[in-house]
Amino acid sequence: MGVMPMTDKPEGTVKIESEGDIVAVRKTVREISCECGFEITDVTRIVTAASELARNIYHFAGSGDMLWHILETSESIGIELTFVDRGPGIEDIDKAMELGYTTGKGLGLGLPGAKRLMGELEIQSQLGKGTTVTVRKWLKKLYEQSGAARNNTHITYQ
Amino acid sequence: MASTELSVVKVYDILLVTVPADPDDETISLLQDKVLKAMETYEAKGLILDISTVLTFDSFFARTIVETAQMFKLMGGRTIIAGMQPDVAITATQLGLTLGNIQTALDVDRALKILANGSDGGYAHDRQT
Amino acid sequence: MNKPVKNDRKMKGESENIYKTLLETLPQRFFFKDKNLVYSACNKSYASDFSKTTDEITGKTDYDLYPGELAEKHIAVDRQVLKSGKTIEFEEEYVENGQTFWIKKIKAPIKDDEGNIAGILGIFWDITDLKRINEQLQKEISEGKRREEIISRQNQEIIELSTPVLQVMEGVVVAPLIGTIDSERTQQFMERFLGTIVKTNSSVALMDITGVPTLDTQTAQHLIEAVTAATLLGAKVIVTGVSPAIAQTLVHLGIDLSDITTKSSLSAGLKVALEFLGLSIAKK
Repeated sequence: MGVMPMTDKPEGTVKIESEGDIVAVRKTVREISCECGFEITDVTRIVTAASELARNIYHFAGSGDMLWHILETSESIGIELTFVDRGPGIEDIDKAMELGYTTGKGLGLGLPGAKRLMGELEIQSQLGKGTTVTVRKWLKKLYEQSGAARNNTHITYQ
Repeated sequence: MASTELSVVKVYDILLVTVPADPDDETISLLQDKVLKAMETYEAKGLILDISTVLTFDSFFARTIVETAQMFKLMGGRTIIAGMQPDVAITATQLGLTLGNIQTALDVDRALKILANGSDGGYAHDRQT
Repeated sequence: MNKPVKNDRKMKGESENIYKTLLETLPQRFFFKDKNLVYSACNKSYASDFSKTTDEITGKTDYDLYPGELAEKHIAVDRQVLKSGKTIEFEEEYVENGQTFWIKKIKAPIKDDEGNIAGILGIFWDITDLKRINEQLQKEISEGKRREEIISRQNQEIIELSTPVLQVMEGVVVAPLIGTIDSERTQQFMERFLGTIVKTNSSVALMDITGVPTLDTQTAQHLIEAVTAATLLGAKVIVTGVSPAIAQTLVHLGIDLSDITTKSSLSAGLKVALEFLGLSIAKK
């Protein structure tokens, strides 16, 4: 999909080195999401997902960064957040993406939850080297919301 | 940051805590400390956590609240979470967060009624089966 | 359709009144036909389309209400529902006085306790506005208007049109879910549902699934999500419209609804709501 970045401030970085930085992540993500035009419920989703992923970095790796990008295609606008750390890495990625998996800190890595909230999630991790988690959320294309728009007469037999 | 915004108010034998809009982890942990101390000092029977201004409800927050409620229960008290905002509720549900058996109420007013009367004009919502 | 309730006539009367008010207030047209396709009931909206009262519609057939060809068309669909025992959902285009209208229709078979088809429930509503909005949207997008502007302005309208949530009395809201429930609709629905609960300060929220034609694991998960979110707010949520057929499906699918209060009919759910609010009268 062709991506054309907006000309004014389409990206940035937030360092994650302390608990206070998790709040900084939330604030930044909230601002960008609102600017993109996401509805309040989606803003809450994006900020919560970002909070979870930022916290992962802080708790498991000690420090890392969040890179953010505003994506724009001819059809929609999206937000992309990339969480990078040089921490211990995740041993079993598939397992980490399973609902309910926990490393003992209670609610687990929040990865399946983050995917649920954002829509797109990609993860790369190497033991001993670090982890990169990228999430993306696109502004809904309204005309797809109602199946009615697609058909003239549309009969469903159930 | 934000720790000055956190207050624990005693109303008869009920503790009312108004949680600020975007608390950091430190504030949330401080909340737990303050609440537990207050429970002891006042021998409170009920705890109302007013989260009507909270914008982000993530796993850490959820976990801490659940823990706090569990601790309070051990000390003989009952916790009610009041005023969760719709978009926060939706996000929390999709994130898979649960509040366990903690009761929830639409607002502080109802929460007070529930604690004071044991019911709210007939409305007593307990998620335990 | 409504089993006689053993206890408490006054309670039944109250909840039936609310039930009636609910049906009357909905913008959708509702009607019930028996298995001979004779109208047994309908709501005011439907009756007023023909400038009649609801009583005047009862006992009639489509031949009495529509011109020959149109009546045949409606009855053909009805017969298909009766024969297949399955719900049919479709959209129709009408032209009247040079204007085009779009109607979404659902015709569902009503089964009795033994599973025999006893009649048909018909629901339909105008989606002309919905379609108009979408066309307008397409037009504006092709004209290069900023997406965000269009979306934030139109989003609210669309949500309101497709997911009604009504306050039937103080403290109680009812959300009749109609049609297929996919992830997208669940989203819209949850926002409306929870938003209305908060706005009306309601302690009880009924989610009626009578109009949901298919119930598979996905749909059930969506419903559970909606109930869970509304419960987090502090409302007591009751799912109504759980027919024996649906109950069977849920059990077979291994879906656990034990934490959720469910009732087979809307009126039964309303009764629970009343009790809940302390409006119950000593039973039996």
